[in-house]
Amino acid sequence: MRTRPIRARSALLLLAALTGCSGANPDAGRQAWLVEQLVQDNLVWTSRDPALLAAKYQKMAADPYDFMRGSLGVYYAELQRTSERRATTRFVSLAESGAVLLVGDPHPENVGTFLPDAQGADARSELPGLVLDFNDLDGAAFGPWILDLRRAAVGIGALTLALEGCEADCREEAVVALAEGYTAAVLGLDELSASRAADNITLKLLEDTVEDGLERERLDDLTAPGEDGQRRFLLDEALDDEGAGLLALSDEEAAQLDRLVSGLRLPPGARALDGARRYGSGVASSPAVRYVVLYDLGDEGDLDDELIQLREVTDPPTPPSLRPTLPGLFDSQADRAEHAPRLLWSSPRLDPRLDALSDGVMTFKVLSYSSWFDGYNHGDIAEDWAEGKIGPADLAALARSVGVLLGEAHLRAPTASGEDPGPTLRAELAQPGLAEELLIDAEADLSQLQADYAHFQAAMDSLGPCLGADELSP
Amino acid sequence: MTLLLLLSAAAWSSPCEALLRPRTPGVPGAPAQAVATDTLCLQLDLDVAGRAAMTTPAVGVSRELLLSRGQAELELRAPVASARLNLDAVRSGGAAGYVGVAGESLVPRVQVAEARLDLTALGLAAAGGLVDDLWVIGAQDAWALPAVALTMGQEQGWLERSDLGLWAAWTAPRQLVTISASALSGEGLARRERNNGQNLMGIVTFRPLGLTTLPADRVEVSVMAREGSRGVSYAPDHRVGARATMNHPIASASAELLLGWGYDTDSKALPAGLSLSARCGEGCPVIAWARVDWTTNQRDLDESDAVTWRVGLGPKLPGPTVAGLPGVQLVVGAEGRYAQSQATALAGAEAAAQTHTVFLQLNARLRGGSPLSPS
Repeated sequence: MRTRPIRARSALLLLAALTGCSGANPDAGRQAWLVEQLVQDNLVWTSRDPALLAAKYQKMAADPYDFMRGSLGVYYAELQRTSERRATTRFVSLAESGAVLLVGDPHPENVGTFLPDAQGADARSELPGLVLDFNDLDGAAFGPWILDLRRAAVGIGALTLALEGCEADCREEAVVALAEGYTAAVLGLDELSASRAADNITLKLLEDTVEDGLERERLDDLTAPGEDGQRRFLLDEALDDEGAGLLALSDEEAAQLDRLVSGLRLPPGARALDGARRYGSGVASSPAVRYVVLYDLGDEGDLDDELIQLREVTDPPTPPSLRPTLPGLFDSQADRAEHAPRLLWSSPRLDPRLDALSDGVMTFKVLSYSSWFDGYNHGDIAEDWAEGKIGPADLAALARSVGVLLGEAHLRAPTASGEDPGPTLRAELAQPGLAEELLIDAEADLSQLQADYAHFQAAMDSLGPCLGADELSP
Repeated sequence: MTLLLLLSAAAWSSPCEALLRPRTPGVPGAPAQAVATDTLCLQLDLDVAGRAAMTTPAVGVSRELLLSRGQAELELRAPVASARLNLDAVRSGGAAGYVGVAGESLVPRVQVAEARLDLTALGLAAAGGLVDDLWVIGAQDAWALPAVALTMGQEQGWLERSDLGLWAAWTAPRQLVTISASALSGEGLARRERNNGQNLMGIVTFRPLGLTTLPADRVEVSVMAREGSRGVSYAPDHRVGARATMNHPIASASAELLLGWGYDTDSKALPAGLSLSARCGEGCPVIAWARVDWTTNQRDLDESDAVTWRVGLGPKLPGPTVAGLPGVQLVVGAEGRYAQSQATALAGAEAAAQTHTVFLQLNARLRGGSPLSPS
């Protein structure tokens, strides 16, 4: 139930209202602001399918990490919110440094494994060489490089909240490692290669991925051979309590998927065998339309069967930038969805199935969906931490890896002006103080994240599952 | 035959000429002569401007070709009632988005859809629909160059050009004083209603010299107070303002002060701004302007100020005039913005502390009217 503020209709009452406003409960004001940002960020989902938006908010309410994943727009808005004194950066003094192609949301769960040479059955003939890189670049946009680093630090910080005993010192070690990894990558320091995959968190991810990949776990989980021997999706009759599931396509969805599949760049001889609508994945983009497609390369049997996913992509939140807009190198949403990863990844063909397709006003990105493509999971990390399998050194090594990946990604892509960002980034990092600044900002950002998470939960209780925006839905 | 045509033209142009005189915000139209109550006049006002601009620091797209103004206004006026529709051109998908209409095409947007009543004898005027914000339109009249830059309140996002709602105004004899009150949705022209609260605004305008010769020789002092809310959470959105305007055939000058409590659903924001502008008047041989805006979104916060200056110059081109200015203008202008560390999008980012733009702009604002037969 929303409360309505006292209305002042006379000049006297108006003055009283103005005075009262300036002395308003700051927490109430913060909650109201947070609600407005979320409502505005999610307007597209509100107007399309409020139930999916409610499921997204429910996911965000699960823990601070998931709240962080669903609130990049709030984070950017907070950085630009001038009603509070903001920490000032000593960097971003050179123009091009404010127009770097950002990963957008480089938190640990957006880092994952890739199998660059995956080409159907051939890839499984021997143990493949997996590569780590950012696997969600939906937030890619041009802006100041330090935003990515700050956001990564928030992600590391949010990760530590569920790690018992990982307090300020433990976080500090990780954030410093993040800064060192980034600096090492940008400045091309020698110890760079030694920093890769040295932590138990990453080693476990790689081991699990190889095991699942060799067993084709995802394919087996989602599909099963029919009476004709051909695999089909194992469809759910309804979504589960968390809004997840694999459902049969409606006529409208089937028609859309047909159109999309006809534009797919699949290997020669490939045949689309089945399709389904997938619900409940991700956090920020969980209300987006997702399809999964089963295809093969034309051989008998199911050894050549593969999965791809097609997921709707919308406009990313706008980062605080040098100017209100920094139009960059992309012609369209599809161009951004396909080429931002190709520019930022260590290899343009890190995912051989990467593609982007437009269908009317909707844009879909296409990615491999095999078990070789996996990522960190903050719940698993917390579990391993609780069991003593990993410790602060592993966390710091993970943070360093994220920093290295980020630095390398920033160096690869041209700036919004088409310039090489290397000279600018190196000039900026020649001055000291990055780790110190990042430490201060990370603690402040994490503290704000925790406060906002509490506000969010309170708002869900008081305003309802769509945060009071129900009247904006159709 | 020619004489007959001229007489005929004179017979219909005169009442419309009287009826279609430019209006002062909130003031009922007052035809200089008696006009039959069933007189109906159509007015078309097109205001278009194209700009070539270069901005430094040169990051991203720093050399731009812009449609800096694209408005079409259609109005049917009778002596008592009028209906007005104003469309402007906006970039679908917004300034940074890719999800638009047919790509990110420019699309027309309804900016004003206003039904209006004028009871001239009583000094009363009222309007309903998607109506002008009377303070903004007053500031726009004072600045007079919206194709060059929006008014300070609009540019900062503190005030909206129009909103759903209604307003009523009373003007004293000789137009010495106008008092207006409005109730608006508070969400502005681009967003539908989010709450049950309305923005209540009152404006009082004093014209110590009256409106003897419109618009030159006008001196106006206005004060405004608004109690408002925005968004689903009723975030406070209060404003007070004061403005003084002096129009003289040689030069016009204006000073506007705005204060706010709450902004863009941030209840803690305390915006403040002072805009000083001056331009050549009707009697001036050139078009020239200068304007300085001092703004902050948090007036109690150190290092949160930004200063924007603008200057421009152009020859007076032959052709019809609209609101005292040449209908067609070719001008060169320059703008600069200096922001303190808390006023940049990313606090402290020196690269964003200063921007400068030079531009060449061609404006065409043309307006004409014609009588219609009521049907």
